Amino acid sequence: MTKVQKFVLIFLVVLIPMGMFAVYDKNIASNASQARAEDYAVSSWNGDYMLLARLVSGEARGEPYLGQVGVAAVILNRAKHPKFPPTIAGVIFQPGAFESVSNGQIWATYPSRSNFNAAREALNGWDPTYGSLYFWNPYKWVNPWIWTRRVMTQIGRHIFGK
Amino acid sequence: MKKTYLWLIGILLAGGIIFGFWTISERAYSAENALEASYQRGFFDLIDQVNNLNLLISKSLVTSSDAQRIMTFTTIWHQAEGARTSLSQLPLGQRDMTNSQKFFAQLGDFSYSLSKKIVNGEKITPEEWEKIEDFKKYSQDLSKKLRELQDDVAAGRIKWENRGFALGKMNKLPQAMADRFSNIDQKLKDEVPTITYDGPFSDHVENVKPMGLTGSTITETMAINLAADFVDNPGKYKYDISIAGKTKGNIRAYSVELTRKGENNPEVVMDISEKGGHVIWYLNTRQIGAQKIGFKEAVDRARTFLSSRGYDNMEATGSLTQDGTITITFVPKNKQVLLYPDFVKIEVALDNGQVVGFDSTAYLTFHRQRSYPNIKISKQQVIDRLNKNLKVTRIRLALIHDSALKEKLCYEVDGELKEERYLIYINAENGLEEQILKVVETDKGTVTM
Repeated sequence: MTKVQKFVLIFLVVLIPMGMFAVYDKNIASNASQARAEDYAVSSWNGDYMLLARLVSGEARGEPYLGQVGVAAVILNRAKHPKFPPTIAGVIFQPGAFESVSNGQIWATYPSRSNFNAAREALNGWDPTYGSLYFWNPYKWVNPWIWTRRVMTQIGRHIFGK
Repeated sequence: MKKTYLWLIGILLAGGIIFGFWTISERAYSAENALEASYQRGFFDLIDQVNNLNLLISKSLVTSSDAQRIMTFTTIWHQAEGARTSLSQLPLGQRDMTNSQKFFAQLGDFSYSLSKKIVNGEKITPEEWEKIEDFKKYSQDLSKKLRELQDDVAAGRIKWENRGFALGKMNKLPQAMADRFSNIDQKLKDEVPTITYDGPFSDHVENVKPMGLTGSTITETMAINLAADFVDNPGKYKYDISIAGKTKGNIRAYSVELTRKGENNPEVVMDISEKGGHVIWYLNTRQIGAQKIGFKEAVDRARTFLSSRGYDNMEATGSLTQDGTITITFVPKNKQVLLYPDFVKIEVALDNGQVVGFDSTAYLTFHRQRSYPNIKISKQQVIDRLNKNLKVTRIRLALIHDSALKEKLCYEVDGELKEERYLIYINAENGLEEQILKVVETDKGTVTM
């Protein structure tokens, strides 16, 4: 084999499959995003619905259903409250506000059926936390400041407070 | 020969590792800088906005024309909202920065309410002027402190968080920016008093005392019995009912759990008020099957449920269908007036028509015997005032909340303009246009925006 032949061979064996894979990968990605957009592009709050469900999946994994509704309700309470940013995205992505956003858990898994249901329930106005603005897990390390909040209720492993 | 190969592999490997490490740290470094840049942008935006606020508040005190005042106050509102956004993008972590947020929110909201007042032909009272003076004082103070920080930032002495990737740099950093910011916030908390005015962020809105709680205090046993009677249970399941705890919100309540015999997790969760034993809300968390019943039947089921639980004269005003259930909003009607503040929400499962969700928080918070103001505007006068191109399909009386939870008796005008539907609320006392809602029909239900 001449040098030129060798180069051609390498090109065929290595680069073409790589290129094919890149194209293939792109196709999968765009198909998936289309399917999702169609599933949810119905009412005005769909972007929020998805984000909220993601946050619930990141923050309330393993919590009872009501606890998931509670987490979603806290986000909505914050968005309506003068002490927090006025939009759902603003609240969720406030730097350092939620652990699952800081460590990427929010993007790790696709929300489950019950995560979506909880988000919807909260968007429909259900608030089992009575206007709580904070939730925390007392079994983990938390900022001591949080205990100065007025405790409203406990659901599952989360305490909800204002 | 063999030895040369080994050497070569060794060198390549070492080179690879060094190259890899260098790439990663290079990436981390540029990512850190990009992040720092976006924080800095937020910070400098904030300084601009606070300076503008300062200037605008001063101008509002000087101006004597209403037109100019309206412009100034709405611009203050705009700038204050911008300041809230900038502030919320700063990496302040777990630190309590809520006082500055609230300061900007209230300043903007208050200014907006003032400009609305002027538009409606009202005068700004001396007390309100005093409050503007107060806001001026605080914002001047804030702007001064921010400028001190700015000097340090511009000199390159400060980074946002007190940690860096580069080793050895750590000790040289002065007190982290975030901590200094947090100090400013805490001072604000001590200085700024509570403020009540006509806006959604006014301090009175947050602490509404429930007005619809009638009756005397109930015991845990009574709560358990009430739960069993209230829940919609067409399958006649036997439930183990227990008290899971107490909640201490604006309405103090027992949290009740209903668990099917033999199951571990509760199927229905419910809050019952201590005073009067009213069911505040409940949720049935069962799986919803395939849809079998239609919209009309669902509404009928919800209505039957309501009247059998003592909620009479309710009118369905909106619905949303999702994931196998329909959520219907019901509003009580009293002397031909729709009481929108006192709404109740019912969620019906479309597989068997069971009521799987109930929420009467608003009803228990606001419902009471009301005396209505005198109606001074006739239906014909309302029609005369409307946009002439609007095709009116219905006019009825309704009580609505404004953004500050004040109740306004209005004519609800249901009309169409160029095939788009609107609800327009005209104050029945003075003819002012209180609110406009656009009605959007989606395949999931009617949504007002």
